[in-house]
Amino acid sequence: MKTLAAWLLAGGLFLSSVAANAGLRLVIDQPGLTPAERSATQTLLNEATAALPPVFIAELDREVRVSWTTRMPDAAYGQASLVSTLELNQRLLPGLVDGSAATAKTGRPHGTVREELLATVLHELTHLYDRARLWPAPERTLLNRCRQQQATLGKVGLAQACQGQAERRFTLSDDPQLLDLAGWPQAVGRRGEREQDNRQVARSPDLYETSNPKEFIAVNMEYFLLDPTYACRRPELYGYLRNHFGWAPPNRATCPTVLPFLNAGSDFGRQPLGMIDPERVYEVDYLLAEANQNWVSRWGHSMLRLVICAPGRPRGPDCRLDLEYSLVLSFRAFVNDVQLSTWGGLNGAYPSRLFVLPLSQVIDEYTKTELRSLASVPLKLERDEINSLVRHAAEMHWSYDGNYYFLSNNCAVETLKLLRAGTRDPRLQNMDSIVPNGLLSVLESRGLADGSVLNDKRQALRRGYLFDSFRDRYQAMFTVLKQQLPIPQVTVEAWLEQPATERRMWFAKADLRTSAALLLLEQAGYRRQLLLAQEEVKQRYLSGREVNDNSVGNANETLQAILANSGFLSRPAELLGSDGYGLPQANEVQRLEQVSGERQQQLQKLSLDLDKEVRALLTPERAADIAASEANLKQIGQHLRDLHKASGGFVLP
Amino acid sequence: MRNLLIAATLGFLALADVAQAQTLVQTSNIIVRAFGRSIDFTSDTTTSVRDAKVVLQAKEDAASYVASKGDIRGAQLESAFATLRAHLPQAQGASDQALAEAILAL
Repeated sequence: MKTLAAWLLAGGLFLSSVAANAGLRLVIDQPGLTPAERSATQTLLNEATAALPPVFIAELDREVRVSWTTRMPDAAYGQASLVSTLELNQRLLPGLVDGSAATAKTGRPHGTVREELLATVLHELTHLYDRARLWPAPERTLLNRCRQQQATLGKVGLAQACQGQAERRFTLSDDPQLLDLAGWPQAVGRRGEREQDNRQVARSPDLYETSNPKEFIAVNMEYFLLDPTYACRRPELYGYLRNHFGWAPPNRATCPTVLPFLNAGSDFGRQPLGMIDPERVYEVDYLLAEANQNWVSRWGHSMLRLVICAPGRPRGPDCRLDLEYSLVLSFRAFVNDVQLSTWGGLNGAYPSRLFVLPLSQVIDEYTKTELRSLASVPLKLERDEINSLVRHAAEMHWSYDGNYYFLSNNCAVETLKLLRAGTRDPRLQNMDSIVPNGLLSVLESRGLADGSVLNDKRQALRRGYLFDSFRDRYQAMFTVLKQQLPIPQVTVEAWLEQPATERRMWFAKADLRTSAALLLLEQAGYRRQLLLAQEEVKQRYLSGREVNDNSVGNANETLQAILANSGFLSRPAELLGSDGYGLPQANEVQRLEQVSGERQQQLQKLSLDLDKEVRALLTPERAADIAASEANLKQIGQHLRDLHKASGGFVLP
Repeated sequence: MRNLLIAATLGFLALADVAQAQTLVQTSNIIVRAFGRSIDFTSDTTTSVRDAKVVLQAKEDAASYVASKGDIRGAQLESAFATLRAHLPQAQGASDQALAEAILAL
């Protein structure tokens, strides 16, 4: 009670001091109110005024008349007119007066009806502030300059700093920086035009914010002003608003320095919830998988790699070799499915999400399974750009649910948008490349990426700027084999196509060096068998599923269960209830740890079941080939160990 | 207007999208991994250094290194060398070739 009284007093003093300098005045304009109603309303308005930034009150220099009305849908809380009136829903007045509104729960992040009413006043006042074109002086100067420039030079000749600024009509809601953070990024290839739909729809405090930028800023002001955890949940937007008002609410929560994410790696034995500390990120690399002939990967795949230092290692070049701590940010469509359709891809039928993957898995997938090389080129970013990029990526990881178009919204476009919004680097603002390999050369030409690390291939391989395709390695291994043993085959393909039992005959004759080459070639043979088996199983599984073939029944059930259970890795927000928004906070992280751990255990069990069941789907011939290939791997492995032992080589304890 | 009904409708739209996404998860890669997991190239002794992921992941790089007489030297191998030398006093004096062979013989 004491604190409330003090608060009211402070609010009252504040209001009177502001009134002396003009500024915003909230006035009750309803003669029919009882004294109790008037007093409750005044208290609410005082609280609203006390919560607003000083600049807001000083600049929005007008009287706003407040009243309660019955002419409003039941579900609505309130509405402001274009300039200077604010109406609240009469239905909510009795609860405000008798105090029950303070305890009536709404099931939304604001909690109670009373808090919701307070938020409504702030929300509607924000609309007035937004419409009043109250730009701070430096911004106003910039906008005037841009307007003049556009009038003389036209849109095409506009300077970078003026992009999106020449036709500004609102204080905040058409600011390019806000639109980038809010989820209306520039559509790439359309001269700065913005995307129509906001796809940052997961973990929103109120989906109403995604309906348009004006509502977005109004909803976010509610939370900026009222929720002490806003700074931790939406750090980038918090920073934006604090910067605009030159002020922040005094009751801010202490935010953890680490950012939570779900690791979508295929190792189901590991706890999927991880933490990234932006301060531990040494560099951010543009990670490009080379193109191949497959039509969905004709332009390569672009990703970002966070070069994270091992615990205890000071941030520096040595961190580049802490490969197991590097994480990859990859926008992926679910395109490896048999149902992949060209039409669907061109029309955005595939969901696009920001996955976080361990680097080692990405290296395996591209260089060993798909036989594509990976270039990892450092971006030249300032320290604060790296920090904000990592924070923005974390926000996107939890909130983004986009659509993948192979042509207009592919991985390169998504990566560019992420870089743009995350770093605010002016060099990125009017860049329009839409294909991954094109993006790298544009980044280089603008001095944003250092492609020279790839000039010396040996050095690049050694330092992790390049991960070569195993296609090249298999070729090199075959050359070694050809030099060392009198094999008749002349191509690596011919060597791998012969039955495993024939290759095996050469093992005993191989020395350590040749055995090392044979080991890699056997792995190539094994992977080749797996790909063949996969194709066959896929066909059999799909046709068997249709005719209810019993033999695929078990595998089908397990597979469906895995699909149902692994969805959470692609859309992490599903694991959490609807009571929080933005980046998950401490209590939610605890829940996440538990829920994701449980799901992961279930996946682990299911995948072990599948390992057994999938084998039953193989044709006897394929099963025999795979078994022979496995036997070869075991045998060459043993041969290597025997040779190593016999030579008395160094043994790892 | 600040209206709660609108928010509710938008919420349903977003959920419908999720259900559709689930059905598109990569069937094929799950199958490939099912095979990949069931074979393990390494012997069955378990100690910390041998088990270190960074060492196991360097096995293919180690094979390339030994077969190419040091010509192919990948970052994963480089990373394993650094880890071994940092944690094993015996590894500090060992040559790159000796370490690569040791990793290969795991």
